[in-house]
Amino acid sequence: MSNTFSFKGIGTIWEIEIYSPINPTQLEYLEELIKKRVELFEQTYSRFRPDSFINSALMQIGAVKLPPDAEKLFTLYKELYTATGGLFTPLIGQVLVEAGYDKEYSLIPKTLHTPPAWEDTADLSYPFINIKKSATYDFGAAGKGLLIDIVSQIIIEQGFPEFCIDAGKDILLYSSKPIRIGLENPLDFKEAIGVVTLSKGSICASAGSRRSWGPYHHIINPKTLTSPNKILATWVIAKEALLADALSTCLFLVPAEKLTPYFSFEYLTLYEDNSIEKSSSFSSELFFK
Amino acid sequence: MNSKTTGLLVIALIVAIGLGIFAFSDKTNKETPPASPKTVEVRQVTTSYKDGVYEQLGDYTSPAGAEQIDVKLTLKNGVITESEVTPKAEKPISKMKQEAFAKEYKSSVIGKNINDLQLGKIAGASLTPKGFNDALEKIKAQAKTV
Repeated sequence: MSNTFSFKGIGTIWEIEIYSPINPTQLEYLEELIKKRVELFEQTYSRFRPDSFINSALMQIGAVKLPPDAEKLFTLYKELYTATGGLFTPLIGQVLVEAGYDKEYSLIPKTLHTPPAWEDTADLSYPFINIKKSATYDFGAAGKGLLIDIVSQIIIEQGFPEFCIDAGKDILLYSSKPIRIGLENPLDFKEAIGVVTLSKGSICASAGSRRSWGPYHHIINPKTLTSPNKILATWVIAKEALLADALSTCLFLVPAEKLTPYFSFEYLTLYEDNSIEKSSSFSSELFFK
Repeated sequence: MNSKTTGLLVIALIVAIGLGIFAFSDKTNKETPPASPKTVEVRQVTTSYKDGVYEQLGDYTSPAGAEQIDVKLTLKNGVITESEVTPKAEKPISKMKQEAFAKEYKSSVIGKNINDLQLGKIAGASLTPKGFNDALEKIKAQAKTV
């Protein structure tokens, strides 16, 4: 009897496993609910869809009412924007487009321009955002994390407290027994550099190695207009996937000390020379040379 | 202190002695590296030690006087899974030597085959949007025909 399903959404593969007892009809119903919710999310936040909310509503000058799921996303983006001194910003959208990470995936870099400061572009007063200057927003650094959390709420509300959500190897786990999770070697996906044991919480990773073209990868520093190249990958463990996902990108932009006073998380950073830096409670079995 | 930690203190001291020799060594002789501390540790820890994190200060005497260095080891199933050296010296030359040693000592990880690890899940970033992958393939194909 199956307790898993898999589908494609927001450009990645989702694998959901329900550990709580579930019958085939319930499983099928749950899958439909989740797929619909993922589709709605993509219509709202995708930078790759011309008709998405962020590509239409946020492009016009004036006040806009944000969707209900935007509060946590915008609030966290604002907090991280402050904590990173403006390096973690949704206004990176234009820079990514200029670098070639555009709707057509042209991957042909043009001249890059420093993105505007958030405060010059929009005032946020949830549920409203007042757009002062039209700009290209990109929520790619935390959007997947938010969606994982939203999906987890659906599963819990349907009466299944134990499950695992794996969205392109970013994971949220609610399990009574610990699961061994390998830390994928960003230079060789057949390998792991260590193992983390987790039963409740989220682990999200970012790596520059895979989505790279020319001198760029999907993370670009808005001040230097370059992709950080000293870090190979980061892993963050946090209670929610939204935070874990966002912080895994932040660690490419600022030292962990800038983030630890404000957020509760554990992390591991892998540098280009294969050396590592990690928080003291990132409990893992690591494979050393 | 139980006998297990005492055993490890000995190891920590071996590390410190290695460093002491390094600190003593003449400047013209600086290419002589300290004995690899990791190799020493692995050979020493062959009996059953309790899993855990052990931290000790190692004492040694440098030409400038008494110095200390902090050595932290994590043991699992009798194997050191992690180690960290923290400089404690205050005298400038010793401080410099210890910092250089700690930097050199910084742990480097290696990959192990996923199939050998009995994993429930993989956390990573290798799955990328199809559009991106398609674009990369196109670019590669173009590059070949030029």
